[in-house]
Amino acid sequence: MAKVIKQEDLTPEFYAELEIRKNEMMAGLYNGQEHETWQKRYSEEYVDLIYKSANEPVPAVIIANNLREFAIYYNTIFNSNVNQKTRMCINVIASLKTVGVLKTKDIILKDGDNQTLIENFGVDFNKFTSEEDLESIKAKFEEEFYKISNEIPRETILKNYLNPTVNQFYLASEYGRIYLIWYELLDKHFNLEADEATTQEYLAFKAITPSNNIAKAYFSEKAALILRMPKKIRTIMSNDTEIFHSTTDASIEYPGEKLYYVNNRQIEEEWFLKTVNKTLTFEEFIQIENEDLKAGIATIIKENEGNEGLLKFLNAELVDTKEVTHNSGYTETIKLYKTKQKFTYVMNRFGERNQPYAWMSLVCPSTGQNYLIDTCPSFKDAVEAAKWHRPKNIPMDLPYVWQSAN
Amino acid sequence: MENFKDLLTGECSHQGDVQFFALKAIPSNAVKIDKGFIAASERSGSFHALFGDYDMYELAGEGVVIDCKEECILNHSLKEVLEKSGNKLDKAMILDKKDHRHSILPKGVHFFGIQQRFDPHEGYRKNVKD
Repeated sequence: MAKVIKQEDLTPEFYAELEIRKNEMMAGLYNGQEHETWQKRYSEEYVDLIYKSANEPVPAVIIANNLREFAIYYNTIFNSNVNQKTRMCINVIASLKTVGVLKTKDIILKDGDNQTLIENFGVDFNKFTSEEDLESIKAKFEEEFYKISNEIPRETILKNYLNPTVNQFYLASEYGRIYLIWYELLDKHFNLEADEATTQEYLAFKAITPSNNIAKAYFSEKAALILRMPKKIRTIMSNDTEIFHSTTDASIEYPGEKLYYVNNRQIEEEWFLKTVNKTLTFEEFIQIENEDLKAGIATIIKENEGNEGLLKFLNAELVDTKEVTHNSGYTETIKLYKTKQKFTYVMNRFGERNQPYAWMSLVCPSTGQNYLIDTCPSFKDAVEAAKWHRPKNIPMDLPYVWQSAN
Repeated sequence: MENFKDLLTGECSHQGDVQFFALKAIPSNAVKIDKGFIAASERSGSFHALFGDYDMYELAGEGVVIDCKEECILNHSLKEVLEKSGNKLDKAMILDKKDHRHSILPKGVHFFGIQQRFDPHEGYRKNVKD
């Protein structure tokens, strides 16, 4: 009979222990230690365990170190329009792992493929007489797979590009380690009375966690494509939620690839580096139409150089600051900035030219992102500016008070 | 036709750049439409949408009006999250957020509009871009 565990059964002690175990499992993930100590066999053994648990023959395991490699290998494995040699490598590796050297040799000779393997890879299966050669043959074809895949011209892959996808399988994802901890603690506190096979299976998975270092995976009959975890992850806590954020470096760092996030929004490398390296000009900034990008840039400058730095970049001065306490209990600070300089091509809301640029600074209550919204330079009061930015049919005399702000 | 201003109760809320205002009644010039996203970003695949039992109306060029028959949930999430949930906007449920926390709308009528952005090179307002 299945055991029923309810939410109310989970005590503070349970959650306290969960937090400890979670931190233990994540200990080397963010700082790169797990990435550094990883060995390919950890991922491969883990994947083989998954396939064996499903009573499936074990696959060729291909490792992608970053997102770009994942996309390339996805196409060289599963896209028949890209390359046939890489698919040959997969077939050989999968066969070696499943049936061994001698049976693979029989299959190759029977199918008349040996000459093809000699011509393409310099490998003659006729010469193999023992299973002792398995690891070296497997390594050879793996090496060939990566070499060929990485040398295929980008245009060839893009011409018939297959959008990579991943399996939503909890055991082979960044959440795998957390799910296994849940099982561990539920068993410890509530004695799940699992049968021996389930227990042994769980223990086998746990033994290779977190060192399997798997973030995402795509499984097929003969190939399993794995995306490794990043080598560095930089986050902050925002409203009790951990989010990707760094104003000094990549939030997610893979070997050879960096992804930049500010308050959980991705920002393109070009803009991030221009801002951090202080090569972004004010003229470039004011041409940006995307508000999230402008907000990200403003946040980077503000965090790294303070308000003074932001005002200096904008060559702006603070015109007004208002604190508004809303009915939700949330207090909002609205600031109004204007450039000291006037520009002949800048207009106010009345169509009058030769105006300064003006911005209203708002902080999103959900994300903490600092938005600089272009506003009309005719305003002198920050709240009046905020009111004016409400939808057009909302009158200015409606008080600026939020019931809820998210 | 009534004055829109007279329909406002004074209660205002926002979720990101989506702002909503309680109304005393559905404006007479509102046209009933099918339920859909209140706002969506093609670039990021995110959306603001209301979930629950409600009717949706369009106020030509101004925004949408929602008549909530029950307490409804305004979510900011991703299209792929919505697809996985299988929800067709009919069930009041909280989805995994993209950036903004969910908002709860009480039963009643609400006008939805988008925060306006000023273009200093054109001198007029338009919707915020993301």
